[in-house]
Amino acid sequence: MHPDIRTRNNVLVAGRGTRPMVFAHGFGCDQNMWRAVTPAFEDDYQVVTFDYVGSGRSDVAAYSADRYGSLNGYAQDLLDVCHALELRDVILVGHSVSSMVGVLASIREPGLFSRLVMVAPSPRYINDEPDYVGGFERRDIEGLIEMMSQNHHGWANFLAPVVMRNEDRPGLAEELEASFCAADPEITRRFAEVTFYSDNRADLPHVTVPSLLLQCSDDLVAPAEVGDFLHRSLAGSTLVHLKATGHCPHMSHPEETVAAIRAYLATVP
Amino acid sequence: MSRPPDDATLDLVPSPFLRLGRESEVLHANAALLALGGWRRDEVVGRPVHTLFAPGARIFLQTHLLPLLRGAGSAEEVFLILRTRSGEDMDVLAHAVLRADGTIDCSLMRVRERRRYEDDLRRERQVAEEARGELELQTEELLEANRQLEEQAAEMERQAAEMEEMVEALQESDEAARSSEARFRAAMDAMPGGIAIVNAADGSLVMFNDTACAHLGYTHEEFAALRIFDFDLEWNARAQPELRRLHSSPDGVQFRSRHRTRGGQVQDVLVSLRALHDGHIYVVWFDITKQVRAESERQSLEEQLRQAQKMESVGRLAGGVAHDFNNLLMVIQGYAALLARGRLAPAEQAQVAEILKAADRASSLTRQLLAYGRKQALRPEVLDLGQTVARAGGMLRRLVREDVEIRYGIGSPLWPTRADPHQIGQVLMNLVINASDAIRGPGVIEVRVRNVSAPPEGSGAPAGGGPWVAIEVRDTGCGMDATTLAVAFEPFFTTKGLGGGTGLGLSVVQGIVEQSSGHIWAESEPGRGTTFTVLLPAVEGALALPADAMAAHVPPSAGTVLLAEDDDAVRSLVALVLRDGGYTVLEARDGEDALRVAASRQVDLLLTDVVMPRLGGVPLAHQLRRERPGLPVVVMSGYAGDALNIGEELPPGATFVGKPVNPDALLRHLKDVIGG
Repeated sequence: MHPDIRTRNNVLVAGRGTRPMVFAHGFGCDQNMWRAVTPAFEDDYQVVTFDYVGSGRSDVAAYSADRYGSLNGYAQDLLDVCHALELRDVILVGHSVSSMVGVLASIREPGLFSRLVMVAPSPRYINDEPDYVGGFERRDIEGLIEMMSQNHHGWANFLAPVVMRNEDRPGLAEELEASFCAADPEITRRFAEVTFYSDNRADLPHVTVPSLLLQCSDDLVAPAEVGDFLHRSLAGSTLVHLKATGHCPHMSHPEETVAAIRAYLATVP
Repeated sequence: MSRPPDDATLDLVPSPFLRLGRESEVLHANAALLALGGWRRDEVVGRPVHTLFAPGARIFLQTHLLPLLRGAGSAEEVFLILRTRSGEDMDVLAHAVLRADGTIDCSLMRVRERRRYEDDLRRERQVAEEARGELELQTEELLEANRQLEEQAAEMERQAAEMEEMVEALQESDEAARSSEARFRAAMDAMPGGIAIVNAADGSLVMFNDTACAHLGYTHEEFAALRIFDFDLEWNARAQPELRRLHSSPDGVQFRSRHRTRGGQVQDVLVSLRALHDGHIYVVWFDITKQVRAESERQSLEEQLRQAQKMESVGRLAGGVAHDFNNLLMVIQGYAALLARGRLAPAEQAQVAEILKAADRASSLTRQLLAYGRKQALRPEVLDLGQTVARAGGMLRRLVREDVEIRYGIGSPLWPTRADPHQIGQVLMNLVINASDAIRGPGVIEVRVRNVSAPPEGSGAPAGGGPWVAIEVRDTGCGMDATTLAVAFEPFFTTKGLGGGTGLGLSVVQGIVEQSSGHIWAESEPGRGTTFTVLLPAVEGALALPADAMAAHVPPSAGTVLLAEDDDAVRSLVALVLRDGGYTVLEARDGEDALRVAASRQVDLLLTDVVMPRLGGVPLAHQLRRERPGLPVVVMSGYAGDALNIGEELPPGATFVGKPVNPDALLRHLKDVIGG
C-alpha cells in the first residue's frame, strides 16, 4: 500500500470478500454518489471507492492542469489506485465519464481488469453528422462551460450548498452532508471540458475486457442511440436497458442498478 | 416540519416556483413560472425539469446539480439558463431545497436585476478606489514635507550646538568677545530660522537675529522691547515648566508653539530651547504653518472619504432593498384594492382596509429609503423657492407646537432654481420637525430664503460653483455638541429616543438635496440653537406654472392602453386594474415587444416601465411618439437607476407615476391624461 496514493485519491476499502470491485465516480460528484450501491456488494467483494484528484476529499494540491487536461490523467489515477492496493482481477464499475476512463485504463493494462461495468456511458457527447448521435451540439457544450464559469466567477454562493444544513433530513450524517460533491469550481469546470469535448470512439475496438453497459431510459446525457453504438463497437459487451430514468441510476434507482450488476456478475466464472 | 403550501397558494407567490418529483419531473409550476416561460400549465407539468432549460443547463442539471441536491439537500444562487416556449434564453438564479419526501422545491429569480446591482456596486467601488489613490498621493506629499521638516530640525540642532560653542567662547574672553560677537551676529543673521537669546528670569530678549523680527513683522527696535511671551502664545504653558530641567537636558527641549505676528496673525512654529550657563536661554524656531495645514487637510480629506464610503454603501443597500420591496408592495396593494372592491362582509372589508393601510405605511417608508438611497425618480422643474416655501407654510404650521413661532424671511427677487417641489416640501418638513423637536418650551423657528453668490467655507459646495439659492432653517432650540453634529446626517441616528423618530429624517433630506445637485450643512452649539442651510443651484429658465393650474379636471373616457412592463406580477396586476377600469389593454414584456404589438393596433395611451430589457421605456416612448405624434405617455417606475431625472429625458407632455401606485390613483391619472 502506498500511503501517498491513498491520501491523494481519498481511497476507502470496505467489504468482506477477496475479489476487488473498484467504483469510479463520474463528472460532477465524488465517491459519495455510490453510497446507496456499494453496501450491497460488501458481503461478497472487496469494495474500493476513491475520488479523482480535484474531486471530493482528494488532495487538491496534487492537481495539475497538464496531467488532468485529458482523460488519460484520470485513467492514470485509476491505475495508481489499483497498483497501490496491489489489486488483480478487478471488476471496475464506472459511472458516465469513468466508463471511458476504464476503457483507456483497460487498453493500457488489459490484464488488470476482469470486467468493466459501465453505468450510463458515452464515448462522445457531441453529435457527429451524418451517422453519430451523441445528444448535443458543440454550442450546447459551450453553453454548459460558460454557465459553469458564471457559477464560478459570478455567483460564489454556489458553494454554499455544501454548508447549508437541511433540517428535513436528520438521517444524513452531517459530516457526509458537508462534504458531498464538494469540489473546486475551477477544477470542476475543467473536468467538464475534458469530459464533454472528449471523443473515445476510436479507442473502443482496442478493448478486450468483457463489459456490461447499463443504459437508462430517457437519459438526456447518454441517449439510447449511444448505448446501441457502444454495444456495436465493444466486443464482448452486454447491453442492459434499465427502467431507471435520468443519468444517475445508482443514486435514483439503486436497487435496480444493484440487481443488474449482480445478475451480470453471476454469469462471470 | 411545516405543511407544504397547496397549489392555489403557490400560484399567489409572485416569484417563479417549481416543485419536482422523485424522478425530477415537474409536479407543480406556479403562475409566475408559467408567465416567465410563456408556457401553459399542461405543457410543463409531468415533463422532466431539464427540458425547461437550455441544453448546457440540462447537462449541468443532470450531471451536477440534481445529484448534488439529492446528496447535499439544498443549493443557493445557482446560475442557470431557462429556455422559454418561444426559444428565448433567459438567465436565472435558482434556489432549491430537497424535501423529506424526496421532492425538490425550486424558486427562480431573473439575473438581470441582481446583475445591475452588482454592476452599480462595482462602479461605486471603483470611485472609492480612485478617491483612495488621491488620498495616498496626498499622504506621500505630506510625508515628503515631514521629511523636509525633520531635516530642518536636524540642521537647527547642529547650528544651535555651533552657536552655543560660540556663546561660550564669547563669555570666556572679553577680548575675543568683540571679534567673536561680530562673527556670532553674522552667523545668526544668516540662519533661516528665528533665533533669540532670552533672559530666563523675565523673558526679555538679550539678542536675536534678523529672521526673528522680520518673520514676525517687527522692526529691530520694536522687537527688542518685547518679552518672549508677548509673541510666543505657548511660552508660559509649555516653555516655563521646562526651564528648570533644561540644564539637565544636554539635547535641549523641543515643542510645538504658536507665534503671533505684529499684524495679529498666528503662525505654527517648532521651537527648540537650550540652556546657557548664565541664566540665559538659547531659543531657535521654524515656521511650520504650511506643514500643519497640509496635515489637517489630509485628516479632513480622509474623514470625508470615510464618510462618503459609508453613506454610499448604506445608500446602495437601502435603495436596492427598497426597489425590490416596491414591486412586492405594488402586488400587495393592488390585489388588496381589488379585494376591497368586491362584495365582502363588513368585517372582511375592515380587514382588507387594514392591509391597505399597512401597505400604505410601508410604501411611504420605501419612498423615504429610496430618497435616502438617492434613487427616487425626481420630477424637477424650474421654480421660485420663495413661493415653494410660502406654499408650504400652512403645512409647516401644523407640524409644530403652538408655543413655537415660525418666522419667514424670503428675499426678493430670488433666482430661479431647478428642483422637485414635492421633494423640497419634504426637505422643509423634515427640517422644521427637527427644529421643533429641539425646542423645549416656547421658541422660534426662522425659515429664510435668499440668493447666495459664493458659498461660505465649510459648506462643501465647490468654491467656483454657484450662484445658489439658500434655504436656512434656524431654531432657538437646545443645539448640538460637535460629536452629535458630526453624525447628525447618518441614517438611523436619532436623538429622539425609542419611538421618537426613525433616524432617517436628515439622511433623507441629505439624499434629496444631493440628488438635486445641492449641498446641505449644519451649524450648532449647545444652548445656542441650530441652523441648517440648504444650497440649491440657481438656473436660467422660465418658471413652471403651479401644478393646480395644469390639472384641469376632465371626464373619464376609456380607450386602448399599451402596457409595457417586464415584471410579470406587476404587469398582470396593472392589466387587471386597467381592464377593470374599462380599458382595452395590450400587454408587452419589454420595449421591443411593445413596438411589435403597437405596429398593428390602435393605441390611445402608452403606460410603460422605465428599466426593461432590450428596449427601455424612455426610448420606447420617443420611438412611438415619432410614429404617432401626440400619443399620451405615462411612465411608471420604482426608481430609475442611472436615468434619475426622468423629467429631462421624456418626450414633452409625458407624465410620471411612481411605484407602488394604487389602482384608483392609476385610473384617475390615466383618465386625466387621456381626457386631456
